[in-house]
Amino acid sequence: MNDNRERQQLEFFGCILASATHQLNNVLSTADQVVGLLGDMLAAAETGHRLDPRKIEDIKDRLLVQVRRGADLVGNLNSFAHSVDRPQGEIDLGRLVHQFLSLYERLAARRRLELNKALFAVDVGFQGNPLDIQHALFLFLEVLHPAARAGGRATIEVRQGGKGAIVEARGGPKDLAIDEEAFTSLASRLAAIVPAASVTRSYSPGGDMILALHFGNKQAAG
Amino acid sequence: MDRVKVLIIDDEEELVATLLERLQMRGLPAEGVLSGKDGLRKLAEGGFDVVVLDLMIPGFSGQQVLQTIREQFPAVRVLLITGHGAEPEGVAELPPGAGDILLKPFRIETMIEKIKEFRENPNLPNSKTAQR
Repeated sequence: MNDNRERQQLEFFGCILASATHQLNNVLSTADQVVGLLGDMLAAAETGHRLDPRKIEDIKDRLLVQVRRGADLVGNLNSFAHSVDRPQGEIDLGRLVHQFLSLYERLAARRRLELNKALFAVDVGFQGNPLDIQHALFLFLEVLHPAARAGGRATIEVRQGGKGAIVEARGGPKDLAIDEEAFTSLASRLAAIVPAASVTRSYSPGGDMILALHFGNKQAAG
Repeated sequence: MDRVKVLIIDDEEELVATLLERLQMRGLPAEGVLSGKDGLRKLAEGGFDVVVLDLMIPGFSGQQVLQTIREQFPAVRVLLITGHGAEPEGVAELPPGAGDILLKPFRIETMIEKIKEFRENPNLPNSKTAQR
């Protein structure tokens, strides 16, 4: 691996870790305040206020939600970290994108990307390297940042395509725009860092722009 | 403390709900919203003295909300909260226009102390450090 590629992979890891730990901090902060609320109620009970068992049950449920949210996040973060160890192999792209986007969620929200997970087809399988695929996804999502205009929305979809798999970002003329320079830069960065991936740009009859990331079946960029 | 009405702006729904309950248990009237746009709409209705604002809200960002508050609601004091607390010893730069900043997770007592300081010292200069 050359220094440039290594540095870019480190930057990619850093961004994902920053996003995921930010979310984790939110989970812990919320749980901390819920525990504080329980403490407030116990303190009130000591001064003669009635302790309502239904309220205690409610607090227990609220804490459980945060514990499960945190556990999911840590599980996805752990899988992401171990993707470095995993060699080339059969990959379910829908599952991998779902997992990756849970870590990228905070960044996605700031980019106004509507991540419609219902559109992530299951069993979209192909041979690939999980780390490279996630790096390609990251580059792909990052280029959408300046594209999603204020108040705009881009929908992400995962599907089988040809002999490989495709991740698509789609948006109307007021939602998505990507200039030639950004598109060319994405295509060349993908070619340098994740040769198994390629990117295309097209327009639907209704005028939606479709930016597609192809895995396993090289497409001519256009 | 004289009555201070607080508006919390944070996209973490459960965090907002819990902070509201805890403030209200302490006799502080408070309301909460989950986006910057809704926050500015609420402020336009009037009656709020302090805004507790998450810097990292998606969409209309915390920085944009802060700037708009300074321009349109100059009397309202802003207490920033952020999960971006990686700085050593909890020190973070305070953006211009904010009264103070708290790093998540924070103690509610610390938050109330800051609100109280705002009330008692309406012209308090900006602090340069963040606390938990």
